[in-house]
Amino acid sequence: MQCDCERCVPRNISGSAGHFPSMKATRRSGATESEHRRFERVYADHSDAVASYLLARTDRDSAADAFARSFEIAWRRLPDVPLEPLPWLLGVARRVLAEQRRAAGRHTALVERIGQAAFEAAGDDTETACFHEQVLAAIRALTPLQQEALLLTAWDGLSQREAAAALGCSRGALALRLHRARRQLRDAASKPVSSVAGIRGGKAEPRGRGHLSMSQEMP
Amino acid sequence: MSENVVELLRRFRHDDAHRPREILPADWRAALLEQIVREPRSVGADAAPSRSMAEESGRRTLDARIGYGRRHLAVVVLGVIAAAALSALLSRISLSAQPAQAAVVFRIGKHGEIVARIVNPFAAARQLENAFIAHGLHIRVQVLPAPTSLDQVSPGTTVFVSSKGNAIRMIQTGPCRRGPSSCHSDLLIPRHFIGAGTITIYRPAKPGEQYQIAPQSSFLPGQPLHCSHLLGARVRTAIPVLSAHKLKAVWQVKTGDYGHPASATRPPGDYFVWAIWPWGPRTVEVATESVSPHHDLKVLGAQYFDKGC
Repeated sequence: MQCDCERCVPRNISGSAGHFPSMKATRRSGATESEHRRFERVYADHSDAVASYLLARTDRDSAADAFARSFEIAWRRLPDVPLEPLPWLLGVARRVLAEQRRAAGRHTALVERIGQAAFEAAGDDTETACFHEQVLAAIRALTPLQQEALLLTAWDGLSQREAAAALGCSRGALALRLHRARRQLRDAASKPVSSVAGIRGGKAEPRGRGHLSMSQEMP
Repeated sequence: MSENVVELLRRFRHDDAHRPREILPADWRAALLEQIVREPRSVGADAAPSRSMAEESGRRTLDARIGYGRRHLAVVVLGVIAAAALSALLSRISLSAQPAQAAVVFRIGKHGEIVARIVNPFAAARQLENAFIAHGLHIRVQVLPAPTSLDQVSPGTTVFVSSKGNAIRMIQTGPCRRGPSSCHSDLLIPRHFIGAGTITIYRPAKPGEQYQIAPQSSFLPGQPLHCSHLLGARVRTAIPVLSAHKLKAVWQVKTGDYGHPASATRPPGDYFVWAIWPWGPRTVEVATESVSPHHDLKVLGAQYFDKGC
């Protein structure tokens, strides 16, 4: 922040302009008290969920920007916010993220983010890293809407009805996307784990059977 | 969905997603909330999503105009050449191509940065924002009411610029006189800037409107109560002085240790004045306590405020 005048202090930024804290929170938005209260309730109740949604899908800075933008839109479109606001909010956050990604030319940002988590989760275990890489490839192969349908239900705990609302599609369409996504993931996870040279120093060896077949049977 | 698939996908969820309160802390969120609800809600309510698209569209337009071609490695070389040619062309035509009523004029600077000059700071904030959006820049414009007596700064001056990483810089160009178009501030914006920024411009407050930016004290030189020596004076002494200056008071009375809520109620006459600030046109805010300011504070205040008395 730069200031040309040493004596001027933006009260709405500094919050204090002298010996005492400023207690003047003016409301110049033209909104009614009930609208303020409603928005504050929406914000208080769902900001964690929106933040988690964004942080799962993008880096911290972009998540912070998208978080601010999403709630700014919610404020401006308060009459459109449904009584159960979370799916609507996540739908807005999803579009904001998509715009960010288009702007930055990072169409694979979600998969990159998942990839980071997958490598973290695998730790030093080469076999697990290979398995994760295989599943990641399957996730990459999904369409963006399939990915989102899957993650909204698996990560964000939305029901199919809520996920459909967030994606702006019918429940039937969502069920179809979920079914296809699940089948592709299941197929990928049940394949024998192949060697992924380069992962974890290229220590992986070809294995004759799938990783899941030992510990987890995918239905 | 199979529980196993859910479990598998949960492993792939970034750890940050489990720590939203740590990464986006409560004070940050509270400040954001305050900022959001200050925005006019009804204006452009239905246009919010399309505004985002407009921003995006504008950003792409800018990308195209200045040869922002890093997305496609294969065309990097061609992109650089095209950008150079386009930049040269733009720098020649951008000023002349602006509409006569443009609020902001853009050009490409010597070092390839985007130079934005606000030529009509009294345009509506929305119009100014739209001018930036049209060039792919997400710059929020705040126009704050302020007294006309702010030292060194004329109405219409851009007084603050903030952006991620302080990427946007501001330089004052030429003398700053009163009136529209007399005070130019150039914003230097990195060519590939894709973050968000805020600029703050001040305008004279309307009658009855509260200042959002003001001098730190009404005792400063140039302020109506300069040389009034009211710091540490009793309220009963201050009231006639304020009346003589035709100033209305908004009172603050210290309650406990936690603050001084503004109140229309006048404190007892034997309370002491701790500070006075400009509040709005012909209105000051007076902070009072039942005890006198410490002697040292009064001495320091006198040294600071009473220059030229």
